[in-house]
Amino acid sequence: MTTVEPEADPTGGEPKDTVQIEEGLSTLTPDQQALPGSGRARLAASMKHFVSSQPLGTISGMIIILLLVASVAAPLLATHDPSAIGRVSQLDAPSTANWFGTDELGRDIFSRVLFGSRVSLIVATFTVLFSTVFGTVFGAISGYFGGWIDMVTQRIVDAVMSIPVLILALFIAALLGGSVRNVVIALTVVYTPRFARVARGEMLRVKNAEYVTAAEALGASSWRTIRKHGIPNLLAPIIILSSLTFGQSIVAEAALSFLGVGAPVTEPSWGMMLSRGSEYTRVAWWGVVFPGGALSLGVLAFNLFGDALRDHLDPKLVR
Amino acid sequence: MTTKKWIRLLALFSVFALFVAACGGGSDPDEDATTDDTVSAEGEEDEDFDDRAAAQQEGEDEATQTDASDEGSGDPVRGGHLIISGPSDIGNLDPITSSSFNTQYRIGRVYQKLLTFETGPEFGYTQNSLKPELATDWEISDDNLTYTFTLREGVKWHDVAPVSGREFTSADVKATFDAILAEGHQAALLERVESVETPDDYTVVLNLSAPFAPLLNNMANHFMWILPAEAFEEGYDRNATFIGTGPFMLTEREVDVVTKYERHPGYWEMGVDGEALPYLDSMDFIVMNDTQQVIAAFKAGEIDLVTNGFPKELRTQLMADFPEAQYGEWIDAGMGQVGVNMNREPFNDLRVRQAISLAIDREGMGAAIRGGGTIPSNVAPAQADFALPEQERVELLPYDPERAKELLAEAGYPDGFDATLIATDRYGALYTQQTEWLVEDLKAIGINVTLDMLDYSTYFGSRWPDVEYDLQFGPQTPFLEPDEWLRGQLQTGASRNWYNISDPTLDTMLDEQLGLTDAGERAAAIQEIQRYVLEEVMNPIPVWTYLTQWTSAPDFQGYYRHNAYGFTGIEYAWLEPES
Repeated sequence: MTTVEPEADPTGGEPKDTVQIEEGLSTLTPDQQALPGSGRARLAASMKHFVSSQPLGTISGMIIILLLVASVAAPLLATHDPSAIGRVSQLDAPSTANWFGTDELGRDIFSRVLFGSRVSLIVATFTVLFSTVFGTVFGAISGYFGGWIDMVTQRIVDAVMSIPVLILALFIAALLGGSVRNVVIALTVVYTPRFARVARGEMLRVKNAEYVTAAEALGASSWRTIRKHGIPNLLAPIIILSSLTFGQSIVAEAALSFLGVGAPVTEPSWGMMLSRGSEYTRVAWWGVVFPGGALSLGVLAFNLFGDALRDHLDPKLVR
Repeated sequence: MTTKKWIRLLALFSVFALFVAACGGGSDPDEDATTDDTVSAEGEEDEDFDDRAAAQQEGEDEATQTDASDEGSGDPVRGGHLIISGPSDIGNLDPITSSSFNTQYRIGRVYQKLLTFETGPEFGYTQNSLKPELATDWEISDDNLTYTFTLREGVKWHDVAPVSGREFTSADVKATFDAILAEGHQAALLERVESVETPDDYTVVLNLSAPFAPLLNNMANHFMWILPAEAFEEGYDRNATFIGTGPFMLTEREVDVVTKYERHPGYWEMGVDGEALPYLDSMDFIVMNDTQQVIAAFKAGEIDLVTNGFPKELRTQLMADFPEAQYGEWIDAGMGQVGVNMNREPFNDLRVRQAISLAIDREGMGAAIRGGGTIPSNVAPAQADFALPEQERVELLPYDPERAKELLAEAGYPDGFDATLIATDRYGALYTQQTEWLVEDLKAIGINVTLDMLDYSTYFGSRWPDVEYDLQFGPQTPFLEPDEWLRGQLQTGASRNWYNISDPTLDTMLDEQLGLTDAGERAAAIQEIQRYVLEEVMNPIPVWTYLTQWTSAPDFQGYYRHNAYGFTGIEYAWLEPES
């Protein structure tokens, strides 16, 4: 389901190296270059450009915001208690009372889809957060210092990346037991290497740039060089990779829940709803279609947003 | 927007379509793998299963047996290859060390017992009418301390080394019973047996230390398979070599995939045509866990006998799609129970346990999830002679959340309390649904339950037996003897007392019924024990006994199910040739 090769640098771009040296004369992207003034103004202008040049990305962004609102405000938006069982009837078709119908225990699927978004988003958010932080730090250090540190780090990365994502995640999650926390741990382990790989690649380029040599010649410490020159230049590709990984984490979480090693059964999650609903597809299509639709929509939004972000941040692809 | 982007969008959609389709197909190999791994890892597991038609019982309660008997079809036809499906398998087929139903089902027609249960149109599904098998006759001394069995002559073991088709004798019975007494999981079935004597080749004498009412019934128990003496003396691997006296020989086996059988040419029992049984030439017992897959295979004629259970909606759909097939539904021999750890507060308070029982909407749960069944008492309702009558069970186990809240308040918990409930998903989707239902019922009276879904080996290997829980929910083994239900679970220090129950009055009552050899007296005593348990102990709390289902192809005839594990009587069944 991935649209990006994990090894590939999603930006395919050149190091954007002069930002820090020549204050105010950013070369990040041409449109940004043309914009004088504060960072906030630049961001606003950049967003404006994004909206005008990336309609699909903008729609995706709006869907993402909707999803966030839905999950945060789930208790307010839900028409029913998501775990309240229907004592009288089950597997009811969608109606005005139950917009998305009810499941095999007579629970309201609309409310469960809303609450299910929480599990998905929580898992995806923390997975992306942790794998971004760990991956960037390891990658940057690995790329900057090279030598045996690089050797060891990259072999570990190779080893982890050689195992298919879902298989490894399944293994770790099954080993740790089913809980939201453990799914985050499993997915973080699985996704960290791709961030490390991208961060290292960027760092290798940054390291050989003249401004870094200059900084080192002026006596800057390794830490300062990484922090001031390295990390800021890694950010664009990492942000793009994050947004794509976000979508993939949602799918991976759903897959793990589907296979029964994800969130506990008492917590509604899209993957589990799909798994349960699939048993009844022939008699109750709504049990699969609505959680499946929510999942597809969510992942699609994140992937398209990631694509748009790449186009937007990549100076080479400007039209 | 560029064309490239639209293509990408389209591609994404098709990927998701595939994803959803894959889910719909329901084929879920990982689930199979997990289930089977736990099974293989667990030699001692033996309780009931969701999707299994394990044991069924009840003469009177006989539900809707619409199978072979209804056809009233003609004479048996010889030949034919039968394919049976079941949801899971187990790595250990040694009857001495594995109590799993999966083991007993796979070896059930390979080995035989001294006695067995009658099957047939005139016998109830759960009726335990004893029938001679390897023994032809038995005699009980007046003091009830000596049981003498006369063995059948001319019975041959399967022609497989090292036994190589020799005749079955009393030495085999003694070797088997000695092994069971020494190391068998089923040793309790021979409790009070002090010694086994073999005065001649066709006589076995059991000497008891005290009267033991269940003994005769236990001889037909599906754990009492007789093996050749060589299995113990020479110690061949009982999980690799299968030498029995039964109508079928186990010829090939791949765990979790298939177990294959061929007819035993030297079998002793004759069919209606005067030739040796069985009528069938061979059988395959395949493992298929996915409901959608089983239904598709059954409709396509690839399975003749389905032991898997289906959710009620899917079964209804199947019956509409394939009306000519045979659908049987009987009251299951087991029950789901809530276990309560009486060493922990507040569960040591009877009022709290009563409140838990009152909180459970049993009828609602049974109807919604199982589509039928009955409220059990502490002996499975399938054992109609011993279980409390249905009317009484319903009265003793009502659904009354208001009264439950009052009881909690009286016990000092007007606002309820927090508790953890352990369960496992190993028993299948329907049991998981029942667990979720139960959690909601308890929440409704203020008991805020955290569900701890354990993997099977943790659940059955440590947490439940070691009584490391607040509350526990799951099926109990479908025991064939009321004594296993009662004394095994309720007596202080009993092997299956995984609830910390210790009640001196109850202990005395449990001991007293053992010596009652008059069937009527014993039944009355056993019913009295159940009344006492439901009024004064309320642990383990009986929840629901569902209807077990078997489904078979239109051409499969002459097979009448019985509650005991092991396809009892399948040697009398046949497949009608294609017309």
